[in-house]
Amino acid sequence: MINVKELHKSFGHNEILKGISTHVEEKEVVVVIGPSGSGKSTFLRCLNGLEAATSGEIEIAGMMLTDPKTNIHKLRQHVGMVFQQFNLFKHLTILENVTIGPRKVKKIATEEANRVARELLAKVGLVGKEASYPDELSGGQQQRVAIARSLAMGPDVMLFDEPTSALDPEMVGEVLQVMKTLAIEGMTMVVVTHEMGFAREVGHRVIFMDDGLIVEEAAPKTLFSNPQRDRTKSFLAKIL
Amino acid sequence: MDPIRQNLPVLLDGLRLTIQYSVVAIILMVVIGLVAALMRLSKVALLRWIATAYVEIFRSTPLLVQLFFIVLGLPAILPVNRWFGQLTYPILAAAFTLSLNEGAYVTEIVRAGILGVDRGQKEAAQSIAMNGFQTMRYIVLPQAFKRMIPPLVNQAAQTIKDTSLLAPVGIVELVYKGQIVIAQTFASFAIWGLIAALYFILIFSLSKFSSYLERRLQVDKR
Repeated sequence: MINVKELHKSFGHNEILKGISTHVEEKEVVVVIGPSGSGKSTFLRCLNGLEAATSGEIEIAGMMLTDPKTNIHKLRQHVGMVFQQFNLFKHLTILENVTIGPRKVKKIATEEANRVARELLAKVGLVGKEASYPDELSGGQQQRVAIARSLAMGPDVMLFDEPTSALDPEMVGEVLQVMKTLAIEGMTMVVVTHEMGFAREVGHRVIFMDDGLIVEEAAPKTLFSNPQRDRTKSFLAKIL
Repeated sequence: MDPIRQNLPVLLDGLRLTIQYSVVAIILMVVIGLVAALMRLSKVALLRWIATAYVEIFRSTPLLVQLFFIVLGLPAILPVNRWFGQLTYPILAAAFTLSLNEGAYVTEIVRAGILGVDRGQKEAAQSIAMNGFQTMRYIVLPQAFKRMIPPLVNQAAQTIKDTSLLAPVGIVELVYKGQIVIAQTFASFAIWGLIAALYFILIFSLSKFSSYLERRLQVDKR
């Protein structure tokens, strides 16, 4: 589903990603962990072209993202993204937030888009909030709307960029629960997070990144209980 | 009281023309400002350069000089009067020059409004596969517009007052009519006072309308 070869990314003279190579299978849930500044968010943003790779290759959902001839908008229809700060459209209602992509990008009729959006909002547990505006919802509710908004485009892959980091502790669970359901249903997911419980319980594979490189990757059980590299050990010692 | 009562119809006719020039200039300045702001934010360097040059030139020279230059100066080197008509050219040129001048300020208002929208909004739009136009049209501009209302109303008030500068280049409007009336009646205190009052009523109604508009759109809330 995702194939990354020797991905480099620099901002000016500052090299953030120093050669990332990995792949993600269909229906696989990959959790990316690492200290802040390790490049994990930048890596995720490269996967849907929010950041352009400096060099290297990214193949995602059957398309070569790094090929300049690839239609990036076409590609993004297959790659959903959930942000740390939710980024719901502040001027639109909850229902409109979920329908605007299908309506304007996929040109789906409003009634059909509304029907799908109501189903998705029910799925993330937000029935009855259709007419509210984002700032009338809690952080956890907003993040669940953001997930529904991404799902409405019918993506093949979902990218999560620290989806619970901006939430009050009591709201973290409701968002993780939605993500867990998605994983069980077979969605291919790449999740950057600090929630080690989620990584352990839901992840099929954990990637530990530090200083722009993948230090170690393994099944969660293996990585958490028997890390091979010193850098991984010291990171896990600090957070577990 | 007599000079006012006798000449009120003449002045009201001038007010009608002032309103007409104002409406045309306000509509055009918003269109011009929007286009120039998008050009200033464009990826294409040439478009950015043209828009920046436009804003700088019109902001850095007096409107009155611009009006004299285009309405009275241009016909000295180009047969514009023949192209547009002896009577039509000054009117068209004056309205257009005024719109261009005000549009330079609107460009900066629109640009600031667009840049004030959180970057995350644009990224979220991109992540659901919107292209640049869709992102601007459905996500960024609607949010930017609400913030732009107060400075745009301010600029509209300025534009109404600036139509008074059309009189010196020979365009008939409220001030022009007022000068004719004063030349005939010598009642300069009463007539200038009345003219000021008419401008005040016009602009005060505009600012009342804009407060209503802001409340309707709940600028602060969403």
